[in-house]
Amino acid sequence: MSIFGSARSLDRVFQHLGNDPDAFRRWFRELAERDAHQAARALDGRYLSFPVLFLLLGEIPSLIETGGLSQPILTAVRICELHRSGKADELTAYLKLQDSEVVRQVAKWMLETGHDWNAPAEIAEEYDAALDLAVALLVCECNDNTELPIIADLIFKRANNGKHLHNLVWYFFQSYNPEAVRIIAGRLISNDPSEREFAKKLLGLSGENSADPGGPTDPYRQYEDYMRWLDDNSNALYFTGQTLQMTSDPEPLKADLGAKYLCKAISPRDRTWVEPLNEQECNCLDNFRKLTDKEKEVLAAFSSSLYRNNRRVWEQWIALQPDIQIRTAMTLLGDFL
Amino acid sequence: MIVINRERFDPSPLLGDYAAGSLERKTLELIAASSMTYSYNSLNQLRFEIRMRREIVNAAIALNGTRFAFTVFQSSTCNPEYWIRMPDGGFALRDGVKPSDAIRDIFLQSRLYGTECATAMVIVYYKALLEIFPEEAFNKIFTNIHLMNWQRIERPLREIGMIRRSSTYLPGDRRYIANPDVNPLTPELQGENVIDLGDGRFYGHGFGIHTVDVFIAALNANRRAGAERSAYLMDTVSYPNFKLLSDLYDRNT
Repeated sequence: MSIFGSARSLDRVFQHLGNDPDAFRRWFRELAERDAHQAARALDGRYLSFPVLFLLLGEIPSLIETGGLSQPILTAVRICELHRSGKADELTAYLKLQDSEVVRQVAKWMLETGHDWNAPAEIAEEYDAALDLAVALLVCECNDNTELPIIADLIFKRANNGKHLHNLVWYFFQSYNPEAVRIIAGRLISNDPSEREFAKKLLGLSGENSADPGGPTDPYRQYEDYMRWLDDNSNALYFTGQTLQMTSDPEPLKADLGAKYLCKAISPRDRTWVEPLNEQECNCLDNFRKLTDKEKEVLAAFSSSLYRNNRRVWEQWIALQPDIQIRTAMTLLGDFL
Repeated sequence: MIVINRERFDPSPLLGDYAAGSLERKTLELIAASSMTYSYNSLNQLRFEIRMRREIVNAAIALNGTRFAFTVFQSSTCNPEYWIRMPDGGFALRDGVKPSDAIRDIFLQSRLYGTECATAMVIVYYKALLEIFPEEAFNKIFTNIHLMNWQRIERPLREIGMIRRSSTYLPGDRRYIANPDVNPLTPELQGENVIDLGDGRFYGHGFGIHTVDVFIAALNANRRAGAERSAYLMDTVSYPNFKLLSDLYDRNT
C-alpha cells in the first residue's frame, strides 16, 4: 500500500525516519526529484499537518511550478517564509492582498494541527515563532477567538518548559475577550501547583499591585472569588494593555468603577461606552468622579448589587441627588463608607 | 517633599553638594518640589538615590554608544563565555563567572549581544550598580543575574519590574511608551521601555536617545491597518528600591 494512502502519511514517514528533520527533508527531496507531482500531491493531502509543512518549507518552492499545490498551502508557505526572513512589512503587504478567509483557515490549521508538536531542539524556537504568528493572524488579524483554549494550553506548556511566551500571552489578551480570562482562571484550580501559580501571575493575582495581594490561599476559594468578581463586573471590564514586557505583575483586566456605578456597558477593548450616556448619567458620573477611591468602590458595588436585585428600586435610587445616593448607600451598608 | 526619619527635610544645605545644573542637583530639586512625599530613613539613602539615578542615566548613555543590537527574544545573542542563553531568550550568568566581568563584557564586546528593550533596561541597572558598589561587594550581592525582562529579577532589584502611577518624573526613571494599536506582526513594537535622561530625552534600546515625540512617531509607523490609537507615554514610572540598595551598600562597604 502506498504511504500516501492513509491519514497523516507524511507524519508517519517522519516518525518512521526517527523524527529526524534532516533525514525527512532528504527523503522528501528525493521524492520530489523523482516525481514532483507526487510530492505536491502528498503535501496537498487533507490530513497534512503544520509540523510537516514547517519541516519541508525549504523544499516546497521547487514544487510550485507543478501547479499541484492548493491556495491554502501556497498561502501558508509564503506567510511562513516572509515571517522567517523577518520581513514584517512584506508580510503585512502580502496579507492585505489575500482572501482573509483563506488566511483565517490557514492560521487555524497551523494552530490546530501544530500546537501539540514538540519540535526538535534545533528548530524549536523557530517553530514556536511560527505558532506565535498563527495566533497573531487568527486572534489579532481575523478576530477569531475560537482557538483560545488551545492557545491557553500552549501558553502553559511553554511556561512549564521555560520557553518564550510573552508574545503569545500578549496575543491571547489582544482578543479583548473576557472569556480568555475565564479560560486562564480555570487553571487556578489545576492539580499542578506551578500552573496555579502561573495562572495567578497571568491574571494579576500574585503581585503587590493586585487588588488583593494577600488573597485567599485555597485554590478553590481563589477561583470562586475571581469568577464572582468577573460576574459582578461583567459590563464594566476592560483590558488594561499591561504586558509582561511592561511590568513584572501585569493586571490584564480591570473593572471601570464608573461603568459599574451607572450599570452601563463599556467596551472591553478601549473602555469606551457601548451606548452614549444621557444627560442624567453624565451628571451622575461627574459627581461620582469627585468621590474618594474608597467611596467610588463602595458606591459602585452598591449600585451594581441593587441593579441586579431590584431594577425598579435602582432606577429610583440612581435618580436621586449624589449626596442622597451616598447617604442611602451608607444607611444600607453601615460602616463600609 | 522630602521626609527623613519622619521629619520634613530642608534640602537647601544639601543642594550645595551638587554643582549648579548637574543632574544630581536637578534630581534633588525635583524631589524637594514634588507634591509627592519621598521618605528616607537616613540622609545616606537620599544621597544614594541621587547618585544611582545619575549612574542609571550614565549607563543608558553608555549602552546607547555600543554596538549592542536590537533583536527579538527568539533570536537574542550573548557571549557564551559569560552567559547562558536560556530557552526564553534571556541570559543567565554562567557558573564560575564574576558577575562584574559579565556585565562589563556587554559593554566591551557589545557586538556579541542582541535582544529586546526590556533586557537593555535590566543591563542599565546592573551597570549603574557596578559603578557604585565596589567590585567585591557587587559580586557578593548580585550572584543570580538573569537578563531578560521583569519576570526573573533577583531580590535586590525586584522593584524595577513594578509600575507605579506618578506625578513626578525623575532622571533615571524607567518609563513606558505604549503602542496599543501595534501591527501584531511586530509584537516587539507593542511598547518601548525607556530611561528618562532628565533633559527631556529618553534612551530606548533599538531607537537610541530622542525626545518622546520621536519614539511615538516610530511606534506609530508600526501600527496595524486602520489603527485609531496613537502610541503614548504612560503616566507610570519604575525604579529600583533605592533604600534597600543603599542599605546593602552601607552593609557591604
